[in-house]
Amino acid sequence: MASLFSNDMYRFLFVSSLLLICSIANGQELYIFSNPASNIPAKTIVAKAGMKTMRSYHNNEREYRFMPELQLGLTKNWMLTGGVSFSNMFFQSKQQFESARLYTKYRFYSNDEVHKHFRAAVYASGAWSNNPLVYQELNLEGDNSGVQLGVVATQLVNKFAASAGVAYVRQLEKADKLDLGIPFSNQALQYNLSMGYLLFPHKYENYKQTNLNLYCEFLAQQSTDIKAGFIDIAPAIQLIFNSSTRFNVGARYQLTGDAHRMAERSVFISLEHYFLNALK
Amino acid sequence: MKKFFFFICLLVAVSASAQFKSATLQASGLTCAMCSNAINKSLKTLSFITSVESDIKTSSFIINFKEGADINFDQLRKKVEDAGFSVAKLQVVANFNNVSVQNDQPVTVAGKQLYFLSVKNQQLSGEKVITIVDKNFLPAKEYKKYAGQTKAESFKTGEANGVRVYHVTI
Repeated sequence: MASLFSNDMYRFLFVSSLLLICSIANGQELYIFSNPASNIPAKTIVAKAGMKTMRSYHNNEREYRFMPELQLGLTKNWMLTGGVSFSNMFFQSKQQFESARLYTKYRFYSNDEVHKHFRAAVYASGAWSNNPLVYQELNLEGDNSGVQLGVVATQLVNKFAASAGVAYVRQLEKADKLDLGIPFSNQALQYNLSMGYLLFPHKYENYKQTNLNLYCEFLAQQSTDIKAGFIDIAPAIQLIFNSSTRFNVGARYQLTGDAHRMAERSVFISLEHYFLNALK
Repeated sequence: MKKFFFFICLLVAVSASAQFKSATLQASGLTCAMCSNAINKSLKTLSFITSVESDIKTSSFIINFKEGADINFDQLRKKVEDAGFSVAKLQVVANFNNVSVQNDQPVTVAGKQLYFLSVKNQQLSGEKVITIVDKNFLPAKEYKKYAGQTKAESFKTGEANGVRVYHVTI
């Protein structure tokens, strides 16, 4: 079963991602697993509810993480995000509060043309988590206490959008470590290459039309202090209702890697609503 | 003689009158309806407009102005930029009443300083479309093209003697 999955599924994913790269169509940059260089509009509040689920390798049980989040568009170039997470991951028998996170992004470069743009942004993130350090995969969505610093560039040409980014992440847990005899990673570089494709509507007529977008992202991490890393492929679909509510479903599959992680596959579902002009 | 001057002044004041009716704004940097909606909602918060009609496909917005209101083109630009995008083109429909314009010269119209570039000297009457060619109202390349046609300091600063000057063409 596992080999069937890796051969056929990966071939399918590989071909579909090539199609994405080659297609010249309405590009979308509202990625599911990464952030584009663009920000949410100034004076806007976005309320987001996210859920990640995976089958943990150590007991083969399905685990869930819930991530409510608020995003604020402070100025046209600067946004702030705050979120918390609850989960039954890290050997918990029931759902419990586990982490809080702050994220801020500043767009420092924009070159806009009609139906075209190139943008670049820097971002920083800090998280506190009550989970122990267990895995070599580092993330600030709930797993680890730590800081992250990144840069991302997004290009939209002829209605095709692609985004590439690199970030440095450092975990800050000193005492609470679960030693499984596997070396801990304290810092890593994270990379992403993300692409989006608008499937529907073919013709824009009004804001009520539901949009259907397809995404394909490549997400990678390489520890800088030990030899551990992975590359994931993350296909996703997105529905946008009334030009203000987004529903996202995506999955992550490890393509290759040798890092110790909670799971090599996960599913992420989120719902977010834009409150435009909500801030004075 | 005084009466004559008064009459001339009155004539000038009346003849330089105009009314801004509406504008067509094209935004750049977007392809999606969600982005367009952000601009649409942002523009609608302005007090001097009555309505906004949008064309998502071309990222264009037709903005109708309130009669007699003080129209602020910089505010229109700012609202587009707040939504995260840029102005590619801003064309304003104005009703002129015998306004004499000369190339590379300013004229006061409806309480606004308009500096005409790349135009023939002419008398403007009736409904005309003027295009704002100031910085950030059009792509940088096109701004540079107009910069080569004038030595006016106001084209760089957007001001003359502390008063906002909009540079326009027909």
